[in-house]
Amino acid sequence: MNTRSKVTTLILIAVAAGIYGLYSTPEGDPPRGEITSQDTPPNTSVAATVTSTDRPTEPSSSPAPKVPFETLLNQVARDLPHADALKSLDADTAHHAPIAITRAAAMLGDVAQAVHDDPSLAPRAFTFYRQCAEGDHPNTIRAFCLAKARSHAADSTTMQWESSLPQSVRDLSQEAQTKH
Amino acid sequence: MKKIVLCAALLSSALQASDALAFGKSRGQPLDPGGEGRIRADSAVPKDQVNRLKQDLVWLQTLRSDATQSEFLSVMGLESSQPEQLQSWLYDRVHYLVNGNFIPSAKTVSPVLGRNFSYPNPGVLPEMELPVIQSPGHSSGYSSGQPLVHAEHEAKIVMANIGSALYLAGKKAGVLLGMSLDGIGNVPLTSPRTGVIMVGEGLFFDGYFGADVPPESTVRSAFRMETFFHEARHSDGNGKSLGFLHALCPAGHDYAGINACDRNLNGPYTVGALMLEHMAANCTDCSEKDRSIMQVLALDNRNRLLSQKDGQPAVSRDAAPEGVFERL
Repeated sequence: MNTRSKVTTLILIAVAAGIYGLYSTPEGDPPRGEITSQDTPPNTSVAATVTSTDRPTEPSSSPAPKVPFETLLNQVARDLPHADALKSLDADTAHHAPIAITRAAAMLGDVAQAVHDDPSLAPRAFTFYRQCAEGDHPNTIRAFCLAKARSHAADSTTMQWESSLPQSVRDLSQEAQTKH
Repeated sequence: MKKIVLCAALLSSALQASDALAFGKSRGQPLDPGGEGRIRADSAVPKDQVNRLKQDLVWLQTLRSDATQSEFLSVMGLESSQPEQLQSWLYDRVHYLVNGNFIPSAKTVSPVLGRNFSYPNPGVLPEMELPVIQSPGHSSGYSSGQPLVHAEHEAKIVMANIGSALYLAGKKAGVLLGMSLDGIGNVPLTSPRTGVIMVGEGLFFDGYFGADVPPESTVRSAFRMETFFHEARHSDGNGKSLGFLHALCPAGHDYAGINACDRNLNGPYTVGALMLEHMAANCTDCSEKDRSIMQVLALDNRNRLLSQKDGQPAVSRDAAPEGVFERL
């Protein structure tokens, strides 16, 4: 093997070992079932502005349509990725937060924003976060939801269910608790 | 006599390499907001991408520094988290940007000095954890029994520290390599700190977070900066820690079987998590949604930190960079 072939081979090995984050993301939208559903067009905002179903809201300056909080939660719950969505990624797409995670982050951000804007939604959000933490989602999503549930819990007794969650999820959620 | 001739030849080549480096520094598209050219993009990097990254670096200057974790400072090796310090950290590790379509070839990568070039820490190389090769149909080496999610999509490169990978390749082959960068010239890879980063369209991909989080949004700036700092960390390390190579994620992990984890306390994923947490805590123009997104992304990074190796707790690796600058 001459020097150039040797170098080329070594570069390939280095790439395979992930020395340089050959981050990549798919062109176009993820396949159905990963994030989007048949009912929600991809790249569509779930809720730029959220309203509660049972209370009048301030007019919004945002051109985005208002979505009742319950509708938002249902859409997010439906579209959050299943744990399996990450299992079939290759090294390139998994090297950095894959699109399944980034879009889930945006959806969960809509929920957090809604509760921030209207704290009275917190009790309903708690139920959503509990279901999310217990759901079949990637650990990152479950841990985030668990941390959020804790922050909305009325008292410690309402968090007894978390002892049934995998240790890895609970440990990761502690990172979220302590870092933010 | 032979030694004198050899030394003269090495010196001559080294001077050429140094000239090339100096030449490279003076050309290309400056990325840093001050226009000093501490990071330069080659002419193949689209101007809109350069401008977007420039704006991201300007945005970085708007961060507060009052809510700073001690872990952030210790891992980054910083005395403070002033934005200027963060930028300097980046400038120490990244000097060139190349287009995501850059392909290492005989035309673009070639030996600067001949065989048997003497690198520091000779024979000491990082451990590469290679995925198990599976049957056709599983590109990641992970057998999930499912079709490939992205098989029908063309992948777009987001960012890659190609300089560090080529330095390692050169070290393994015993030759000093140089890269030919469009509009800049030849750049000898005398250290992983030469800092050559590939930047691709994926970093600016419209649909990454959905339509209501467009590339120009604050949280996208944070995401690009996190990616940039992650890649910059690959410019660190020496010997066994050279390049801070990623480890295979273990069975049961979200990214099982893929080189998408770290077995240390100060690698690229730790840097990424800390940057996101720092930006979320110190952002001056972030919405609750922005902070929430950064928190999820930070957790995705922390999820990749393996706490043990062979039953031993993970430790911090030596981040001091390996290089041959002083010997040229």
